Amino acid sequence: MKKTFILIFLLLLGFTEMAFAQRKANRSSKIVSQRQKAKRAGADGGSFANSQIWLGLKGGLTFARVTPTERYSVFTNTIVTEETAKLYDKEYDTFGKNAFQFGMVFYYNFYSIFSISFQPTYSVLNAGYKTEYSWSGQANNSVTLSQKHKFQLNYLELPLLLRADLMKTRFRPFVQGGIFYGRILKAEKSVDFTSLDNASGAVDPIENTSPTIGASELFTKTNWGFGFGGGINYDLGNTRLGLEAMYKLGQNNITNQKNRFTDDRLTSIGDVLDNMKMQHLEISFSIVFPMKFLETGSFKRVSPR
Amino acid sequence: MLRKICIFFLIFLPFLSACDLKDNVSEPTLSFVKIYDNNDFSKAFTPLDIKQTADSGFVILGRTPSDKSSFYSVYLMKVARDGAFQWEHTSDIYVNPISDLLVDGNDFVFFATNRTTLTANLLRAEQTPGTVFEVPTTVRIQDDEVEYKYPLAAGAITGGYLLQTLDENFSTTRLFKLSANGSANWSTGFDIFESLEEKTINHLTRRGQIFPFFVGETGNSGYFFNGFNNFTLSMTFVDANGKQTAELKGEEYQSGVSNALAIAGGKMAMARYKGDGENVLLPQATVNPAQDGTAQKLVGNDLPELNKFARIIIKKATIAGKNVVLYGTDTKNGQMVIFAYDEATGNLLGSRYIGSNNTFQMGGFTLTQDEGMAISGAIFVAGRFSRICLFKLTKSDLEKLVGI
Repeated sequence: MKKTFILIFLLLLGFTEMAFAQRKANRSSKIVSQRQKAKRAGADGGSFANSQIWLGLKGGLTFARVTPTERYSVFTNTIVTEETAKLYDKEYDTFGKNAFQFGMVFYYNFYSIFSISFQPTYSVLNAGYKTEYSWSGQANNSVTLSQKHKFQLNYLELPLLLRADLMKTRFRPFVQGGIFYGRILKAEKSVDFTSLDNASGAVDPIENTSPTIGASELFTKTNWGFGFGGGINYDLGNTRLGLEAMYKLGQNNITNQKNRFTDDRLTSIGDVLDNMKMQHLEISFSIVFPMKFLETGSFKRVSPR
Repeated sequence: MLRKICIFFLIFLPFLSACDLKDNVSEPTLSFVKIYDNNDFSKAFTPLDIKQTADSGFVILGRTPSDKSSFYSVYLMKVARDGAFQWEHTSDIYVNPISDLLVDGNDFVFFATNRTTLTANLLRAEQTPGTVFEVPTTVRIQDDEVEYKYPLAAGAITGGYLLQTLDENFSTTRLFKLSANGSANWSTGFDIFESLEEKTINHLTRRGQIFPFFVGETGNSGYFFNGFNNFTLSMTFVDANGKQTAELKGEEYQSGVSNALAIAGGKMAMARYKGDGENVLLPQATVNPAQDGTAQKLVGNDLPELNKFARIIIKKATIAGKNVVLYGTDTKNGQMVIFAYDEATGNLLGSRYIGSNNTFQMGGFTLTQDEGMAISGAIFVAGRFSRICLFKLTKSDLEKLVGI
């Protein structure tokens, strides 16, 4: 864990240094040389005037789900039929549980409408599934036990995206896509039990909740995949506001296969994770600021053509 | 600038992903947990022993309530090497298995009781000749020639078996030495001096006090049995011909020895219980098979965490080069537990607790071909339905158990 944080810190430090190095270079140059640069750039679209760096913050909601690629179960039925073969399959939620995310936004508008974007994000993803078991016999003896499993995964995500602005007006719709790498920071799991016990005389279900347990060992440390989405920016002076949506498709199995059966608290209630991939939708608000300015009579940022 | 960013990512991202995901593979037979469920409200299954078969799967011997008598029917289950259920068999004829699954070639034999005649039978769970241990529709359990009434315990010894029974008047314990084909070499009677019909029937139908009957051999051509003798539940030692040499007396029928196994150095690994049911483990007991004694005077390790009157399994094993004595039992908080003691010194090397939330009871355990361990137990699903569970531990788990 310590090494992970050091690595992430160095990564972010490197990017921050790169971003601000440009700004430092700009500020430290003399006014005359800047004006000369601008004059040269203005006429023929040289590199200084044709690129801009934006840096800011974002935050918003996440909606996640997992899809199984290979099913596992602790329970198995000794009466083998087509029905019992699927009796213990989990029923997965579909984007039913929302959570949040926040992070930084960095994008480098390197040419015309194209930018490359890096958005280190702290993402909290909630997902879950349901299982149900029942036993029945004579004289209306029956017990039904439902379990709602919830798990929360906290990732540090590092997406690298290519972005294209569709228009160059004050309202700037855009599309973007790319890859992301996520590193798990924390995982927790809890189970809500609902039992309907006709045999004991109950007519209504009874609910109980188990305590939340740490489950980091049950998941892989890595979740990587592809993301695509779009949004709209609004230029308010030198500030750019944004509203965007991104759909991220995880490509790897996030279940730690070696540790699948190691938590007695879960296997003893018949719970074990399937092999699964995660998908999540991010809705974000952002505010970013330009890093490159022209020193003229008015304080004006560089706006690439 | 753009180039720097891309290079930075292209170097770091694959590196970060590859390390973690490359190792995320696992052989499904190395470690698993299974609960073998049955949706019938009235069914209950209790495992008694587990052995690994030639196809690397497992066969589990157990009992289940019988529709046809007050006794518990013999139950057999076969599972694959990854724990997948393959078949089960409930006997209509045979009840109360009284021994472990005993290896006989590729088959397994065990002792059980004919529910009609109440006599012992040596049964063979047979595999189809020439194939792996897999019978899709039924297990052929066949009788061998052993018919002795009210069998209480049986076990394998060098060259054959020992069988402990009660006579028809419930006043004499009989000990038989049987050859490998079930024919008797000798038998000896041990007078109880009173009739124990009620205690015996309550034990056999599991409606009253359960007594820890067992048999074994001392390793010095002698044998022992734990049973009724001379007004008490005693651990009785006999010589090679069945003549009594010593008696380790219990406290009438209230306390005594739970289990015993001869180990190196002429010592015994034992467990005993007190009148209130609390248990004592003795991984290095010094017992003289030629001198009478009292079980309550044997000093060992008190373990109040164990269930009162717990069923305790004792086995010898070699794990990671260490000779150990393994005790398997269950605890008051509903877990199964395996204790590992050094066979030479009697020191506790480690323990492994299994189970949570639901109540678990130890059924049996066996070392596996991949140097791991399979542990079978009863789990009370939803707090009430007794079902068979199977935990497969890895070689690494066992090394931790013995302190490596």
